[in-house]
Amino acid sequence: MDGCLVPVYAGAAQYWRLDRDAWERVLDAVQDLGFEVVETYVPWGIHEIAPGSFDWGEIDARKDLDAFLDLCHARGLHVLARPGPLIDAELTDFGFPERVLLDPRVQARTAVGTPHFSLARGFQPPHQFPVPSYASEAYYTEIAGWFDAVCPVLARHVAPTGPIIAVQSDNETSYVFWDEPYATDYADDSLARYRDFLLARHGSLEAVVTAHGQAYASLESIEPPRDCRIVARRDVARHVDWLAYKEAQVRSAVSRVARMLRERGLADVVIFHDVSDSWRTPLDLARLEADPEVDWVGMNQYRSPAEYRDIVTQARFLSGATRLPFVPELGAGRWAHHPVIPTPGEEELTALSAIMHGIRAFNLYMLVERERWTASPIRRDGTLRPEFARLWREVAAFLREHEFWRFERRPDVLALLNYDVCRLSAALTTLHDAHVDLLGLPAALRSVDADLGLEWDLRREADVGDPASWLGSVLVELGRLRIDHDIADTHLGRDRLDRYRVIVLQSLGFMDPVDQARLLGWIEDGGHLVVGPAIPTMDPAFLPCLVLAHRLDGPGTARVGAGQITWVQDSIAAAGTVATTSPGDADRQSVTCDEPMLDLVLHRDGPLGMLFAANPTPAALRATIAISDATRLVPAWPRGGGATVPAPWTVDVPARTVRAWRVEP
Amino acid sequence: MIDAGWLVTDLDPTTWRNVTPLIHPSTFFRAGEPGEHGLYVLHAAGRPLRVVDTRTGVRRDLAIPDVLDPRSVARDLYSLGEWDRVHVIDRRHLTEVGRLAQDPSNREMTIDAYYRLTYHLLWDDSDGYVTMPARAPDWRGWTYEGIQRFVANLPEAATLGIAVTSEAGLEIGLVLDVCRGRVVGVTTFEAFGEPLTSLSPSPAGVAHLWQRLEDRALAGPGRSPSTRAALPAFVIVMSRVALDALLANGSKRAALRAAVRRGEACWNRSRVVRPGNGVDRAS
Repeated sequence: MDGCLVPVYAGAAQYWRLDRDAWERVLDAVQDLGFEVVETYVPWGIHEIAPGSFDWGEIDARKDLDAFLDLCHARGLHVLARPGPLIDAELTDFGFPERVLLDPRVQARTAVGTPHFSLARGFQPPHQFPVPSYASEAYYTEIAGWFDAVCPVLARHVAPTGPIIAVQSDNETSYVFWDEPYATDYADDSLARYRDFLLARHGSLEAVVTAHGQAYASLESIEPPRDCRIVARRDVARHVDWLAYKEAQVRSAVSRVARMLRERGLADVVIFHDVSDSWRTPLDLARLEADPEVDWVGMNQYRSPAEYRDIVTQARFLSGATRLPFVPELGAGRWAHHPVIPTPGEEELTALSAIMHGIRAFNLYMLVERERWTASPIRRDGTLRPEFARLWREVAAFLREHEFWRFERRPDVLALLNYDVCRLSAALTTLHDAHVDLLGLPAALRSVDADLGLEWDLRREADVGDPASWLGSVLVELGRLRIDHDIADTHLGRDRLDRYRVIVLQSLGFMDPVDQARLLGWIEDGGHLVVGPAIPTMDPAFLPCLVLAHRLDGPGTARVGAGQITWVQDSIAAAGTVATTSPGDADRQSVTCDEPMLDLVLHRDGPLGMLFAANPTPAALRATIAISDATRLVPAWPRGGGATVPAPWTVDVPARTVRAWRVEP
Repeated sequence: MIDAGWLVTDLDPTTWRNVTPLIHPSTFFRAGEPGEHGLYVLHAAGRPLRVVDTRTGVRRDLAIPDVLDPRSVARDLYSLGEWDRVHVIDRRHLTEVGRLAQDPSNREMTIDAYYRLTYHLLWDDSDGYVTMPARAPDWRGWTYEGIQRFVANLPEAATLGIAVTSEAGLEIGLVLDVCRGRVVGVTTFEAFGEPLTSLSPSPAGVAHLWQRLEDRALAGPGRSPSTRAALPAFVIVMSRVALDALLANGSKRAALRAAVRRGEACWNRSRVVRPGNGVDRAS
């Protein structure tokens, strides 16, 4: 902003839920804790008091958005604004006006034709509501009315003359968490869009008939699958087309809402989107961020210490797949109906683990507590919860003290999840009925067996967290070898592929030809692709496709243009190939450690380094560390953590904690 | 019972950490207990689709016949002695539960009534979902009807105070505001402003909490300016041991009487003894 770099270390404060006379005290507390960016939703259903009529503080002073933004600006605070239309925030009806939700033309439909209630999957008190359809034109007409009202207010406060530095398009666009393939959306508008999608994808009705193996008499007669009916390869295309459509529907909704914001005076501000907690179908982060209307995509994180490995994967995935790895909602406390309320120690581990593994921007949700939320550092009257305030004040101070935004990880290696593997695995599931999540059924009961002639267990291979899967095993081995790496999926664009010298590609023998061609171009320009356990010889519908395979007759290595491709069936050998062929960088510091259970990540800023060590285990660990070209190790986290560590660098890391040291040459 | 506009404010993290494990709906819906060794047979109109053992995964070795009589299939499999519980589920039943639950007219229900409807749709008397042994008809003695009766007997506007203590201090300090049979407010002792640090399961402890709730009602909003609380109608102070016994025991009345006898619980309600007139420790 104005030539200054503004790190996005933000915290949420929801003005309409705070007493008007507490705003100043609350914002004082925000700044006192060391935060300079405030995030807030702007909820449609709160401001709309009658159709087309809005309260901006004239009736209820807490709704005076102008005043809140002015107050932020006067204090030098930046603002992330999230006007929906979907909000959640534990609001009744998720912040929608009831009249909009009750319009049958707006409502999504389930596979059995009913409206889709918000409680269909997940527990979202205090009241069930019919979820809108992302395909409904009536819905977008209503959104336009809301944006016509709210966007002029926001536009008055956009930086540099105002505090707003970014605006979010919709929120967690994923069918209100009921994102299984055959759950919803079978609304009429959605089915019409599905048919248009098929025409665009296949080119003609005849081509759709051929691909699906169905005798469709007309476009209108095409019906999507309403449960998994895959028995053999011939059934796959019809099902994965439905999943691909739903992915496109989510992207289209986010893009359209972003465009609607831009058209109403928000053309020159960053537009971002937050994905709830998944990078799998129907979510598609790489393509979401590649959309010209969307500048930036992040993913929320409400994890426990037991999910440390998931935190690592998520941070590395965001590092690989997005421009600026961002957690738009990083748990600071929890919603009132969350089953587990974290302690400050647990939040310290989860937040610092995310930062350690690559998160560079975050929004503490909620920095300021409000109704239906607990365990924030700032109460809604502006007083502090001392134990949580201490933690977040220290985190903010640590980041600023070291100007952490200057540091970055720069791995040469990228692991690519195969989006087609994940999509087919999702297609082969069932029991997507409403409320099945309440029954505690074993996951295996929801899987469908089909005779697809695959040599590998599709479900296991689709789970990158399973160390028995090929890619999961490669990632474990890369960790053991301390080879820093990012993660993304096969929809990643060429510009981002070019950041890496070695890519490890998961393949079970089928893959989208366009994605293969993109990788082939990258290889020809000098990249080294390590693929396994199979090389793709088919497209996702199991039709022959030899874009990559015709470069190799069998496992081994072949030169392709300026680069090379290596097909390795064994995962340990694949990681070994990466280790021997990754060129590394002689200018960079490298780290060795004699304690394999200790996770280490080195961030760099020129000659300086910031070394993080995470001990996710229940026992304390002691390790001796060596870092090339470093002479001093200065404790950085926890702050005030003692004197410079004398060489040789033996460090103690208590159970379930993260430590950090500034590394000086 | 739960108002769609309820205010849930000032939740002290310690109280809430101890409360939330008790409130998730899946606790009340699921047939199997956590950690239980179960066998699940999924069928569609009698045709077996999938058989899953919670420990070993898919069981193709079990020769499951067509499920003509789900109860006898469950009974026969259970008699093998391999599992703690056998579940026989008709896939169509789950679809029908979802379809009926999501009828547009059900939007009007309170969330608890909606879940209760869904519960009865799932666990109706049909053979849609059969378990052997049968699941308990209530959750450790708690029934929706029992809670409804309790709420219905409260004054039109009432506040309830619940304190659970242990050697570590106050584990739960919960306040519920009820109006015309609906819970309109939930908060914790944090709403009192001044901390309430020592409470014992004694008449003095109950009287102290009662007084704080009265002060809250009479003095006004505290940290909750949007709600004006009613006078207290029921207050209970108990030990963690008493709470655990109360949760586990099928007879709540017996568990409570035993806890009162041991000096582990003490309570008062406005319709029996008004505050200031002493505390009923026995009824």
